[in-house]
This record gives sequence, structure tokens and C-alpha cells, in this order.
Amino acid sequence: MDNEKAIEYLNGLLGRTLRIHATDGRMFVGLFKCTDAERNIILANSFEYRLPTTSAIQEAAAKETESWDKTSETKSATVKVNMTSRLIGLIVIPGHHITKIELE
Amino acid sequence: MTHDAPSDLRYVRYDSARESEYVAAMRQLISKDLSEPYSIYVYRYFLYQWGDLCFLAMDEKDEMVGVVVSKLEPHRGGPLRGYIAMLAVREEYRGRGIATKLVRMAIDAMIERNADEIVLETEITNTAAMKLYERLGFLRSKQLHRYYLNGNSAYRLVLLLKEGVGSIRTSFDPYGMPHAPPADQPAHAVAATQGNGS
Amino acid sequence: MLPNNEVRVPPPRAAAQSAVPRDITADFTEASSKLRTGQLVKDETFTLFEAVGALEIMDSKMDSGYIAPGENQAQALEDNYDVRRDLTPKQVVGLMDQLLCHEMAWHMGHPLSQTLFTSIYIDKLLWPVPRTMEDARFDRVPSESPLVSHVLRAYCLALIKSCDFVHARVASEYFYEEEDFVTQLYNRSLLSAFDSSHFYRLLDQAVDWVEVEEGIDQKVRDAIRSRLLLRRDFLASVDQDLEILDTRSTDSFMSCLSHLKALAETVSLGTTVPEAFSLKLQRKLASTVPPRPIVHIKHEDAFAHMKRLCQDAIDLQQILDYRGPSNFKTAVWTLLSRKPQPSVYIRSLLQALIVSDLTILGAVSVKQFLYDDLAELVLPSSILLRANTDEVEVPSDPRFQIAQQMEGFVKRFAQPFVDTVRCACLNRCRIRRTICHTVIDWDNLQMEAEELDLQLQNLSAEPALQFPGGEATFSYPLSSWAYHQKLIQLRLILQMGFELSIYAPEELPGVYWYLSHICSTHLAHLDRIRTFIVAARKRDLVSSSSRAENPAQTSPAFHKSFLYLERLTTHIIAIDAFAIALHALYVLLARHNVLPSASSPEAYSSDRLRYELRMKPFMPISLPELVPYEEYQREATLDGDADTTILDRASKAITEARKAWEATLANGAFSEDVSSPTREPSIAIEEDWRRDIKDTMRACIGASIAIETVKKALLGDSPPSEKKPVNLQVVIPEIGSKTQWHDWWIVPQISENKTANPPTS
Repeated sequence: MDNEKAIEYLNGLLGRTLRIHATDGRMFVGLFKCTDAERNIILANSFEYRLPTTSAIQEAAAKETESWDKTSETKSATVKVNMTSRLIGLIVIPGHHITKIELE
Repeated sequence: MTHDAPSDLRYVRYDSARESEYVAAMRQLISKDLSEPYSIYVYRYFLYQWGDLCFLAMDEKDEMVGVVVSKLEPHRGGPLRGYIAMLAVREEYRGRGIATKLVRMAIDAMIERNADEIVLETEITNTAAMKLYERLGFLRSKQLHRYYLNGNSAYRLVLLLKEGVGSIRTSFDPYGMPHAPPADQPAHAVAATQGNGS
Repeated sequence: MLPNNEVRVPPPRAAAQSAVPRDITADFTEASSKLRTGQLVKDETFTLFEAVGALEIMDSKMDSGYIAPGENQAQALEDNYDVRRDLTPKQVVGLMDQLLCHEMAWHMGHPLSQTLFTSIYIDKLLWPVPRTMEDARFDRVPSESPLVSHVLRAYCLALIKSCDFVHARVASEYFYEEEDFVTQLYNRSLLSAFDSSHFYRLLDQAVDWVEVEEGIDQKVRDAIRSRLLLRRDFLASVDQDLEILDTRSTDSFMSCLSHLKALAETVSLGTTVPEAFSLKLQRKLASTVPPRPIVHIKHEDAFAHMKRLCQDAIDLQQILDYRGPSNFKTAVWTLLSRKPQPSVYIRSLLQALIVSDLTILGAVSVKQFLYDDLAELVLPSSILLRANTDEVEVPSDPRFQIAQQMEGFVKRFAQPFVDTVRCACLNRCRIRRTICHTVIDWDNLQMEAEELDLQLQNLSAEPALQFPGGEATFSYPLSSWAYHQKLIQLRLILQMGFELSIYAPEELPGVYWYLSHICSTHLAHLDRIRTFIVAARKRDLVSSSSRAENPAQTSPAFHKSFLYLERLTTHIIAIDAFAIALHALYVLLARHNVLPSASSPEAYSSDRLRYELRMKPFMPISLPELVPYEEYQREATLDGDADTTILDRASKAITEARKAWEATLANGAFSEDVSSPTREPSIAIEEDWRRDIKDTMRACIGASIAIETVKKALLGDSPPSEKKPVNLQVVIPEIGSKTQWHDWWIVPQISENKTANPPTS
């Protein structure tokens, strides 16, 4: 891949939704806006996803049996895939903290 | 005020060929000095477009001890407005006129590029920075209530460089957006805390 | 107006579990490595300027979700604080007071994420979103301690509900996000769905429980009780909101004040529970801003803030009776000029009270308000304000046409006019900035009014006035009125500039000169208005006697106008004279090189450029025209005047100023309202107004002394010469310092130099 091809490839991804996994285990999902030679990636309207802690899973499971509100953050359709997410907006993920990039 | 700037210092213009080396040093210097956090793209924004308005002070070991970052563009379709975004000098080098020298270099470069005016913001409590700019002829044009993330207010300081600039009308509609972020910056990473260092 | 948080926070995104994602790590990495240093691939519509706002992930200063290496993931996210734990009564007191501190910090402008939303108790009540009041509890299984499950819960719920009312009021008014207040709720709701009756009930139950519970020390029990009662009264206070227009009740706010007193006395009884608050909660809040520390404010600051809020709300009551436009404007401005400035809640409440649904104070239509102001200043007993299309229906009748023209005037002018009053509700910085913009609108409005005046003068067959040696002129009432509004605004731009510490010491001679220039323009304008009212009065007397009417019918209106003009004139003379005195004093200090200067001789700017910059708000104004630099330079430096002449000028002016301020004080804050003398007076606000005038008078005395000191130094035994500069030390006091008697009057501190004279060799 030469420079021109590289640009073409990356240009094709602009505006698409990327899932970027970071070294600390979090995943960020947002619209791809910009990158550079060091793979510093800017995502817009992004959400942070974090694997729930053990106690949170227990709590979620317990709540499942109750009549608590289920419409929001804690997506408890099925308890096992539950990741907590929150909106964090416009972000830069430094290249050296990226472990995996996925295209939705 | 100027104690003689030590002769072992070199003042240089930012060089994009040395981006990775310079930017890393700048980030370190500035993050120590300024309260507002800046991402790598804040530096990109300024350096890619106005790298020639960025000046550095290097010591005899070629380590960065001072930096000024600026930009220059038409303001809302009106005057060509310079903006001093960041100024920082390493603590142990303060009081030697390094900051003044750097700001003068930036102003001179903007004048060379035909700037009509130069503006900046500084925290109300940062008397050293206020004094520095006021000595250079800046006037306080307005006070900005709770301007910074830490809740501090700021002054907008302005230096007019040409006659007739004050009457250039801009396309600003004061009633367009009641809650718009301050004129020169996006919502959070307020681009302009002025480091303490006269 | 769209609340800001809706702009920032798009609706929650559907979970990313629909499509199967494709791993592109290798391709992406390969491609980006082919970019040159500094080369960017970016969305065309996405600018680097926008990128400046991006938060950097894994940077502790910017990434609110960052967990430092080595930190335990679970511990970093979850607090092992048990909300069901037993609390001692003293701990409950401590928690309540801490929560009040956070609540007030939020009122002061700090975000919820750094204040109330750091409380684990509050977090548990609000998340997951409760669907019933029953749901809003600390844990699924309530604590066995009633002190927690009843008392603390009721307190917290009522606190949140109070915040809901405050949030709703502020968010629906004109305010500046992040400057005045942060409306961001981080995807939480402040229990707005639940009726306040639930909260009162829970509080009452808690109070009942506390009163009969025996295991609690009497003092501590009273402390808890007064905190619950404060909650109840504060909730009732903010629940009342605009209903104050009907209830006219300050009872709740009054009770808050008395409970606050009890609180301040018992704050030491509380035991803090710092572990019940955690910054970790920020990691769970939807947030597009960097992580920020918990805001800690002192108890006394929190109590003081709430006390001021209640007191301001009580005194606000005194504005609610409409007693004519000038009294109304004075009362609003005076209340909002209190220091510290009334809180954003009070300012928002007042905005809504001033005008909602095109009605002033829920009582007077904006049209009537506008007409009252016109009648007071320029049109006492005029056909222009009496004409009415309902009564005259023949379109050819001039009265019909007058009424039509006036309707157009009301449509165009009512809103800007009401806004000149509402503007006082903004924060002090914004008041000045807003006026700098609106004064340009008023310049245009004045020109439009002039057009209307021309037409109305034909329709009403206004006779011309012949000035000696001049042409025939007409009264131009509407544009005269608009010009008056504009001159007030131009003056405020300068006066607010002093208050906000905008001017450098070396600018003071020029700015005070400009202030006096605006004042003398204003005085001349008021004279012109007076002349035409005198003429109208004469005509009125003649016509009413010819119609055999009793002139007593119209005379009160004229009397009112003359009185009003007199009051205005006295006040502006006072400002003018003081400005002239300070101008002269500063000219002398500058001339003898003892006035401090912020700029150095090596500055980039010139006097001319600095003048241009400073006068920027005045530049687009067509009337009065900006004084050209050369003229300004001559006038502002009193070029050609000897020191003795200037000293004389200063002494005379300051004497006149003192007299005029005395007279202003004697005139009082409000003009008497003949139509409703029985209404309750605005005592507290009048007191504020008097204090303000008295502070100005103290500044006058200070200036007199300064002038005398300069006189002694210049004309005394050893007058300065070229060899021996004047031996004075000049300090410009800071705003807010003791020696600065009034924010609008910068009086220099002048003393004889204690150090020996510089050698004269």
C-alpha cells in the first residue's frame, strides 16, 4: 500500500462507525473523523463501553427479577452481554493505546 | 523590566520537520504550566496552520524552556486577528524576560503577516501574565465571567495594530445563539490559559 | 429556548450489538503507517478547530473514565460504601450539612458532577431511574435504620426536588451555560415526574418520627429536626416560583432564614462521613467534559449563599407592586446590583416576573409599560398615547392613523425596551457586553422613531417651536425618548467598565472625560425635551380654557413629567460634575508623570490606536458621534490649560458634585406615586439605593481630599520645577478594596512621597 492507496483506504472509513479497543479494556464506539501517521484516532458522538464489574453483574441479575426501569444505560435484555456504556462525545484515542479496531 | 535574557538561550521558530520532538517537549512544558488540558490535536490545530507563529526558547542543552503558540485568521469575516493561545516558561527560568521575548517574536511575526489586531484571554488571577501583556500595549476589552474550567474569570486583552480596524463590521449576530461557547474556542479545551511567566 | 444539555447529549445510542463488526486493525495500521508525519486523513466537514474540543482517552486530565495502571478496576468504579449501614444521628447531621454545601455549590455555578452527584446516596436515589416514589430509595432492601430509610431519604429526596424546581426555572430563562449555571444532568432526572406533595409528606413523616424518637440526644434531635424543616420550607419556597405574584407570600423564605440560623449554630454537632461522597461516580456519568475534582465549599459560605438567596427573594417582593416605569426600573437595577450579585436562581425568577406573556409583573401589559414611560418622559397628556383604533373607526380620521402608527411603534419597541430592564438580570460581565450590542440596535431604533415622529407630527398637527435665531423645530417625542435610552446605555458601558476593572490607570483621564461628555450631551437633550413639554403645557392650558375645561385634569401628567425631568437632571449633573472633577485630577497626575501606567514606553500600541480600541462600542453609533481622536486628545488632556486653571476646575466640579449628590439623595430612590400612595414601600431596596448614593458621596469626599493634596504639592511652598518633579505617590485602588468607595468612581490614593526627593544635582 503506497501513500495514495493508504489515503484512499482511510478516506473510505470516514464517517463510518468504528469500535476501538483500548489497552485498559474499554471499548469506544463512535464516528470516525480523523487520523494521522501515529494512528491517533478521533471519534465523534462516541460512547464508552466498559465490562461490568462482578458486583454490577450480580446487581443487574437481581434487578432483572424486579420491576425496575430497564430503558436506560444498563441494557439488561440478557444479563450476560451486559456492558455499561455512557456518552463521552468527541474523543481522541492515542495510537499507542489502541489494541483493536473494528468496523461496524 | 527586562533583565537581560541569558545569552545561553536560543530563540527559534517552530520547525514542522521536527514535529514529534518539539510537540512532545511543548506538551510537557505546557501541561505543567497551564490549568487547562490539551489533546494532541489542539497542538495540531495551531501548528499545522500557524507553525510559523510558534516560537521556542531552548537552553544550552537544547532543551525547551519556553514556548508561545498563536494563530492568525480573519475574525468573523472582519479584521485579520491574531490570537495568542498558549504561553509557558519553565519555572526556574522565569523572571528573565523570556516570555516577553517570545510574545514579542510572535507579535512581530503577526505584524509581518499584516495582522490588524491581536487578542488573547488570561485568567483574572494571573497578574504576571496581565502585566506582561499590558506592558506591551494590550488593553482589557472585556471581562469574561467564569471562563475557565476551574471557574475562574478572564479578561479579554486586545492589541490594535492598525487604524480603522475598530470600525470593521463583523458578521456576528449577538442574538443568534444565546449559549454559544466563547468566541475563539470550542466548548471544552479552552485554548488559552496564559502561563505564568514574565 | 433550547436547553443546552439537549444540544450536547444526543439520545442514548442503541447498543452496539446489531451488526457483526469486522476487524480492520491490520489494514488500518498498515494504512496509517503510510501517512507522512503531519499528514492527516479527515472528514471534509470536520475541522481541526473542532478537533481542539476532543478529549484525549487515557490522559488522566481529560479522560473521566481513566483508571491508573495498578488501580483495581472494580475498586476504581465501585464504592464499597454501604448505603444501608447504620448512621449515628450526628452523622446524619453531618451528611445533611455536606449535602447542603453541595447544593449551594451547584447554585453557585459548579456542575452536579462535582457537587451533589458525588453523593452515593443521591446517586442511588436517581439511578436506575425510579418509576415510582417507592422506587426512589437507597437500596432494594431498605436500611433497617429509620434514620437512614426515613429521615435521610426524605431529606435527600426533597433536596433533589428543590433542585428540580431551581433547574426548571433557570433553564427556561436567559442565562449563560457554564458562566452562570450548569444545567447538565448527565442523563439523570431530578424527580421532575413526581408531584411535590409526596416530598412534603415524606418530610412530615420524618419530622414526626424524629420528634418522638427517644434514643437521640435532645440537641442532636433538634438539629435534625431544623434541617428537615429547612428542607420543607426551601422546597415550598422554590415550589412557589411565579405564584408569588398571586400569593405575595414570603413566609417560606422567612422560615428558611430562621432555620438557617439554627443550622449555623448546630453545624458543629455533625460528624462528617467523607466516604459517602466519591469522585468515582463521575466515571459513570455521561460526560463530554474532562474529569474535575469534587468542589468543597465551607459551611459558612453555603449558609451565607442560601441566606442571601432567601433575603433577596424576600426583598424581591417589594418590586412586585407596579408603581410606574421609572420606579420599577430603579428597583430592579438596585436589587440586582447588590454585592455579591443575587444568585442565578433569583435572577432567573426576576426575569420571569419582569415579563412573561407580554405582561409586566403579571399586571401591566408591555404596551402600557411602554406608554407609561413615554408619558413620563416626553408625552404627558398627549393625543399620541390616547388615540385608539377601537374608538375611532374611520380610517381617514387622523386619530385612527395616529393609533395605527403607534401600534407599529409598540410592536417594534416594546421588546427592546423591556429588554433594557431585563438586561440587569444577566451576570455583571454580560450586562456590559449585552449593552455594547443593544446600543447599536437603539441607534437604529432611534432613526426609525424619527420617521414615525415626522408622520405623527403631521397627523397631530403639532405646531413648530421657534428657537431664537434658529429654524422652526418639532418635538420628535419618540426619537427623543429612544435617544434618552441610548444615552443611558452609553453611560452604563463606561460605568460598568469601571466596575469590571477594564481600564488601565493611564486611560482614566480620557474615560472620565468621555463620561462627562456623554453626561453633558444627555443634559442638553433633557433640556430640549423640557422645552417642548413646557410648550405643550402652555398649549394645553390655552385649549382647555377655551374649551372651558378644568386644567386640573391634565396638570398631574405634566407635573409628573417636570418632576421626573428634574430628578433625572439632578442625577446626571451629579455624575457629570464628579466625572469632570476626576478628569481634571487625573489630567494633573498624568501631566506630572505620577499617574501609574500599565503600558511601557516600548509598547506596540499608540495613544491613537488605544483610543480607537477603547471607543469601539461607540464607533458604530451615529448620534452622538464619536469624538474624533484629535479633539478627544485636546479635550481629554486639557491641552493649553495651566495647572492652576485645571485645579480650579477640579475644585469647583467636586464641590458641585457633592451638592448634586446631596440633592439626588434628598430626591430619594423613587418618585412618589400619586395614583397609589397606599402601596407598601420598597424599604430594603430603598436602603440599598441610599447606600449606593452615600458610597458615591464618600468617594466625592475622597476625591476632594485628593484634589487638595495635589493642589498643595503643585502650588505649595516648593512648587515642582523641571529639576524637581512633583513629590507625590499615586496608587489606583483595586475594585473591592477598602479605599475604593464605589465601583464606578475610581479615586486615586495620593500621598506625599515619604522617600527623599530624587537628587537634584
